[in-house]
Amino acid sequence: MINTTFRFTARTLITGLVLGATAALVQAETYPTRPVTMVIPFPAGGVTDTLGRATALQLGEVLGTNVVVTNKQGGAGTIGMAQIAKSRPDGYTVAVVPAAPLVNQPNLRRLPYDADSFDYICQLFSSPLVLATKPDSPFKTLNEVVEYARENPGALSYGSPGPGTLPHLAMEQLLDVLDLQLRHVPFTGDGPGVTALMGGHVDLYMATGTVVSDKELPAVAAFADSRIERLPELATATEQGYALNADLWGGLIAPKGLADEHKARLAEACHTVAGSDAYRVQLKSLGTDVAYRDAEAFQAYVSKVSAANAKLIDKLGLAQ
Amino acid sequence: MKKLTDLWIGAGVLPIAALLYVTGLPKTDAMETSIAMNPAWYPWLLLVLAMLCGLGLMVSALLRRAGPSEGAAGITAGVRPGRMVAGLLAICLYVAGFWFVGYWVATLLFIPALSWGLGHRKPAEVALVTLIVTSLVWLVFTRLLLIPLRDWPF
Amino acid sequence: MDSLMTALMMLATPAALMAVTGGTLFGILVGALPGLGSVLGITVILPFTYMLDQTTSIALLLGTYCGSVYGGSISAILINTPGTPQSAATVLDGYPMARSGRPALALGWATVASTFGGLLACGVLIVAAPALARFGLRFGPIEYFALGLFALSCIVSVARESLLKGVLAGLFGLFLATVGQDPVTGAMRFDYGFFELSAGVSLVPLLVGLFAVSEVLWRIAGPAEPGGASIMKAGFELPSLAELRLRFWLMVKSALIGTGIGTLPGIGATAASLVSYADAKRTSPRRDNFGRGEPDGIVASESANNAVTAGALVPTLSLGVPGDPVTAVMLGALTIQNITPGPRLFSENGDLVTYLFLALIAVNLAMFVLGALLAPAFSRLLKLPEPLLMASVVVLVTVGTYSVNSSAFDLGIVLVAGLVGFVLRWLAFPLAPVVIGFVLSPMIEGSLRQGMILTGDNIWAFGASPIAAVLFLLTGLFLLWPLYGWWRGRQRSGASAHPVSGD
Repeated sequence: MINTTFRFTARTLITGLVLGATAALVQAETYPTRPVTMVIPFPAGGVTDTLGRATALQLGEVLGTNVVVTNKQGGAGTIGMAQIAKSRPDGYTVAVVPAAPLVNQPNLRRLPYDADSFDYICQLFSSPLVLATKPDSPFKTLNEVVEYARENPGALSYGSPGPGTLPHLAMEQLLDVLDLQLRHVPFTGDGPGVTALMGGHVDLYMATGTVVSDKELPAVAAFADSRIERLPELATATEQGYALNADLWGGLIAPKGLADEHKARLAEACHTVAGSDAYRVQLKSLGTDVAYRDAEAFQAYVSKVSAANAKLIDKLGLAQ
Repeated sequence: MKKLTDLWIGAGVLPIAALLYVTGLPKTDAMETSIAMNPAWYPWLLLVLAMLCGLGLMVSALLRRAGPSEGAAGITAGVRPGRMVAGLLAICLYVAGFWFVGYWVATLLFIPALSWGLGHRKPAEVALVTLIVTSLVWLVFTRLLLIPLRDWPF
Repeated sequence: MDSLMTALMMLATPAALMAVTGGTLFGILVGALPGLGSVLGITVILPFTYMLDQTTSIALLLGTYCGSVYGGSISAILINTPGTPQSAATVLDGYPMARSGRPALALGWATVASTFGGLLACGVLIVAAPALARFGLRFGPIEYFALGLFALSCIVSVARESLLKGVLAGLFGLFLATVGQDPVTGAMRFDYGFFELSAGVSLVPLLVGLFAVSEVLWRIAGPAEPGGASIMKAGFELPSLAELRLRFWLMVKSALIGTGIGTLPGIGATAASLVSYADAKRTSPRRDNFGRGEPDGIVASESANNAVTAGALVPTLSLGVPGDPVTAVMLGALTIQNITPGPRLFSENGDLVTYLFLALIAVNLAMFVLGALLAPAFSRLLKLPEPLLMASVVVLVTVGTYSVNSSAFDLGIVLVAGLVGFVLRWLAFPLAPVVIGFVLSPMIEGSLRQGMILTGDNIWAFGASPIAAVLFLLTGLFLLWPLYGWWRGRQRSGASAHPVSGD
């Protein structure tokens, strides 16, 4: 505490000394006056990172400043999230995050943050999940999978990008609703996981639509309200009689306690980014879609999913 | 002497491995769950193997006492632990300095200090190299790679 | 032929050639800076590719990728610090060679081997990419486990003086990698309440501490060297033709090991070069010189790690599945350029694929020329008086480690790993097995437990996979080999009076 106060005082002092006469001028300028740091809690090069970088580029243009990306990886996103939570809420630290470290991880184990440690700015993206099968799979519809699994409990296996990830929990929820038993094989990320599916080492895999269309994998159902544009042949789960949705989603957040004018400025910029054609095109090439929710709706959705997943995690005994 | 070192290393491995096993793992139902679902199984295997190696080191060290000393691994001779502690301390101070007072201050102090401590004391050369290295590294990281370093004030 | 001409025309533009040179140059620099690796290099380049066209972007990315892998060898040789994890094995003989007064020649060997490995792997990629990718798909958890064990068995050959100490060092590395979240259940292991430890120990700070910081400490406090440091001949010196001919097949073999491992997603160049190094040590007629500056060691490591670059492109391009973290970033970059790697790329975008191969060849050639030009500049570093050089190394590795994750915890790991490295040297433990164990451990544990899930906890079912069975058999043979040698040795010196002379 003393440390922070001291640092804050020192910073103010020195800023004052250095800027001297121009200080008043700087104060008068509108936020942001210097580059904004964007933390991405996943390693460079992953889907989240590429998404984040595309967002940073657009956001920088709208805000009229540089948005510098820093990757802070580890612990399924939790290390980076913890850092964001304890950053200064001065509007110069923001983060693009997927939902899993917000709605799943805090329910799985004790973490130095929870869903309430952040100010929500806006949801930006969402891509529906698709249940893919191995290349020579006999299953053509979700029903066939369900029937087979019901007759042979524990015979089928499904892969996921890791324990506690969104696809893992989506699949567990499906199995819970349908009262099925499948073996869960966790991989470290979609790369190894999808490769194992392509090689036929696991039977099923929850992935985004792009993974399925680019790699020409067969699939049995899309967990979305309507059919996915890049897979028009694929029937949704609802059409097949199972009213279930699942997607990978996320958005822009900041440490809790932003000043109102900063939050308003960021929310406005976020809205502009989400509406821009360039952003839409870039996200499309990454296999995801723009899905905008404003600050309030985003926060409400996070709480809703977090509560639902907490129940599921509890029921399945996944918590550590 | 050399053989005794291996004996001590072996003897040291046993309690460390045991301690790690007891303290560091989640409390699962020991060996009851399947290998696949038991997070403690694989570390347990490694630690048991390490203990076996420790025992092996002790046994071979004891056996070797009777035999010729050639081929015994033992310990590197001539290490000066005092200097090691001083060196490590200097490096720790630099890293701490880098974190708390920033890159410039820490680096401009550290290079001459270590050089001085190690007996290289030509002021002009030291000053020149310090300046060149410090600014070159800073330029490469912040200007070419666009990675901000810790600059004071934060 | 038509496609080749089109591709050549694409490459022969000033923009593409400049991107090849610029990318490679940038890559070498990033690689040579300790801590910064290929992933970071590509990430820095990434925003530029948003503004460039397809061909220029590809050249720039490939240049950065290959250049950074090669660049890592420069700091490995000159300051005992693997500039990138991929060069961890290069340290083992490159640095002793430089210390013995031949840094120019060591850099020469690394450059020749890197270029050769890169080009040979290119050749393999051109001829057999789709077939190799299909073969790679046959590797599931069970096969990966067998492969991991096989690679691990090479610890036996890098344990120099005492087999037990080598194995113990390997176990230490394997163990270190278990710190943090369990890959199957997500449970915490050995985190002792430190939140940062829940993410585990990262490879870069571990390597930097283990090699660079411990080397600085060793020079400060290690045994005083008689006569002081020898005079360094800075510059760049190519090995003689006779020497090259002697090691030609080693280069080929190492490149094939690298290509093979690169083709399989998820293993990576660090493991590839260590395995190749260990294999060379097992089979080379000059194996007794290993660890003392034997060119074979540099050749085995560098030929393999640069071959991985082309190898890792095999699954990336033909399946759309990245072969390692670097190609994962490249995959993202290509997608943004509207190139969709995957089964259709080869059939629908033949020209572009040919162009990519040509660019890869051009990059490897540029690497050779730039390496020869830059090496003297880098080796000038060694002319610094030792205390100043040591201080600069500390500054470089601190800044380099910080820049990866902006993490104080990582800096702490560097310090602890430095101390551990020093103590291990003091107690005459080899360092290489620690790294081998650390790199392979996640794959071995993960695939073992995934395999157990698939077979219903029946380890014997692993033998049903032909690939795994062959690998298990080879592992057994390699493990028994030293025992056989030891037995032979005993038979020969049978008349000798001393009962035990093991190790």
